Amino acid sequence: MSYFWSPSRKQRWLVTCGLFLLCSTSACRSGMGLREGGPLAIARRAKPALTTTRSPESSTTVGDDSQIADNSDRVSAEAVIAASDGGVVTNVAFTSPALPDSATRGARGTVGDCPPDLEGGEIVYPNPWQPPGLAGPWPYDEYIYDGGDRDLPADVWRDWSVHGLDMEDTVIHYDTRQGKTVVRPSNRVPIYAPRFAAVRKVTGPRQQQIAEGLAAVDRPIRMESQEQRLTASTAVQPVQPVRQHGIRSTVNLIERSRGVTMDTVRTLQGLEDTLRPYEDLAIIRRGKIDSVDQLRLAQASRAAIAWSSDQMVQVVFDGKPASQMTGSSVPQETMLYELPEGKDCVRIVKIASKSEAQPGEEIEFTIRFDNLGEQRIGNVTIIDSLTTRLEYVADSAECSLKSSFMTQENEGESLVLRWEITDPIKVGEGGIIRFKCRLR
Amino acid sequence: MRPLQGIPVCRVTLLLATLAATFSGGMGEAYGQRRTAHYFQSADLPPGTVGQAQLLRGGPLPGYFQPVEVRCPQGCLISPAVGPGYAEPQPDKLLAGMLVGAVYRLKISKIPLHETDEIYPTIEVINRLHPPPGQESRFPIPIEITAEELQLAIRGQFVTRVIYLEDPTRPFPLQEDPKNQRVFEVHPADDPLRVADELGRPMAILRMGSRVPDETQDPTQLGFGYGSPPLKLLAPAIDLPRDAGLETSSSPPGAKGAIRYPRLPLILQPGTPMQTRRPQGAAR
Repeated sequence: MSYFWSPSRKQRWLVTCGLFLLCSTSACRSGMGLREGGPLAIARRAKPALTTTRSPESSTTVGDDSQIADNSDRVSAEAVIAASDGGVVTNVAFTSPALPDSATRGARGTVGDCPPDLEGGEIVYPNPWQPPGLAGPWPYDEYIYDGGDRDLPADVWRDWSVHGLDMEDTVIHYDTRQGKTVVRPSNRVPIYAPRFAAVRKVTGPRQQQIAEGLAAVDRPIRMESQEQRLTASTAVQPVQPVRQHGIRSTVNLIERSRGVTMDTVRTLQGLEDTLRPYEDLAIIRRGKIDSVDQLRLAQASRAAIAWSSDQMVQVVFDGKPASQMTGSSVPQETMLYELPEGKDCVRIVKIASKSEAQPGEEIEFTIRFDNLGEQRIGNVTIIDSLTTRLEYVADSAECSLKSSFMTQENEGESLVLRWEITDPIKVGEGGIIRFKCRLR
Repeated sequence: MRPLQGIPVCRVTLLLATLAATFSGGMGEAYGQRRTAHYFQSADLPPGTVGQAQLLRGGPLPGYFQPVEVRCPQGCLISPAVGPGYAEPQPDKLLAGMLVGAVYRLKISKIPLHETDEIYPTIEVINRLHPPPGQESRFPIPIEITAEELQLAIRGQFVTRVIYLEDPTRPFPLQEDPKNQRVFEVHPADDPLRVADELGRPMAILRMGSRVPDETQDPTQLGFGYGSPPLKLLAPAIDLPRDAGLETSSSPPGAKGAIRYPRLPLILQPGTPMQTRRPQGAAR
């Protein structure tokens, strides 16, 4: 009886091949085969896991409407972040601004009219030419984006940490009466903002002489000519007039002078306690989509088509999913969960004050969120991870609801903005968030 | 009893094949991160070669006048080549629409501390932007010629500057200085066009050296000016106070510091009485 394996020749060959592949792969993954960009590659830090400051014990509820907790008893942000080694969270002193009452009052969107995710949809951009089959705006490298949920989908884990939050992402997450934590992204806002840089090379004849080794050439050859590609500038048309008819000089000169147009430009000097001109839309003011504003919304958010109600599924069977029963009878156990009725739905819309900007300019963003579901929602949190080229302007964040505001650095040398709405949001209610960014 | 006794060889083979497929996938990912592109062009090619090759790729490039803004140190004069001569010089800044693929010769004179010298750089536009309609002149390709580069050219050095559009997914995390373009210096043995392609999308190539026009050359041959391709001089965009914002201005109308918009030039001569014309039959 042998305690060792005595493989055959074929088995030894297979094991050798497997070990070789394993070793080569390990060496490759350890950095031998990787190349981290060129000599000018920008070093990036590891992406920290963003952690919420919600208290699981006080927030997770099932079945009882009264158990949707507010955020008053959550743990401190510094403690949670320190425990997860996720970065530094800065609590910002924050007061609710003087937003108009109409922003949170009046008729709202249709309850139960839950739109699909706002990041899709066919968007038509007024560019002169665009390759067929590519999603706009095109080309992508002339735009910066904010909003949506790029790459990995954002998710909130049981330990209240937010994962999959990439740069540019804007999401809202909330808790339902069934105990679920739902994450929904906003629409994506593109801004035309190309930025340039240069790569320079300086050469000289002395260095060229060293490189070419002219001292070793017996018969120096001087460059005689250089090939140049010329563009035709003139065209000779060898056609001459054959004859001339009578030429008469002008006898009468009629002067037609139009009156000088005078316009009186009276600019708006100030706004107080009202909506900005770019955000004075029905979707922002009342949370209800108006067909008149769709064109302006297309310019402000570039995604109005994605959530226009006339392109959605019109019939919704509440609580009656489509099912099919077959005649097979097998022993089984049926678990019946009695959950509160009513579905949850939150719509979040984001627009920008400018569709194009140059470095140094300030852009103002407005986020409108509404509870379009059939139940109250709690622990509402809006997170916006700014892209690298957007720098948050200090003390510019506003929120129409009572909330706490905090910031945290992200992997793109910018900030993650975070609003935690203190009170639960009732059915048909919503709020507005504003903040400014400076384009880098 | 041997440890693997009783296990069929086909199962061992299947296990090893699965392991090999799993790890070879990771290895392929690692190798896939290498850039193995082969570059046909370089910035050392004669002016016009890269741009003409771009035109062969198709797309909305031919016939489009891409706005280009050339900036020089204060006091310099910039004159683009037009026909056998040069256009009227523009101080400090030149905003013009240039064709993709063509080569434009400029003359820079009145260089500070080198008033007697003249530099004749060339600009080759190799790609274009796609701004929103009506915003073309507001988003030109900026080409900055620094005082250091002018002095290098006067001393006989050859400066090649490739201007590229930054990749928005890998931006440089610093505030852009509108007056000083960010520039990376590469080794003389490297190709700036290739480095620019790795960092973004190359848009234009500036070549500047000590070459001066040949006095003995026939000016009608137009060789030095590369045929003086069509050039569209553009008026600089009106710099409206966009950053001010309506809500931040609290001064009353007419007060000092209020937002003022450009008005139409006054055509009437001083002293001419202004008359109000009304159509016939209109009620007064």
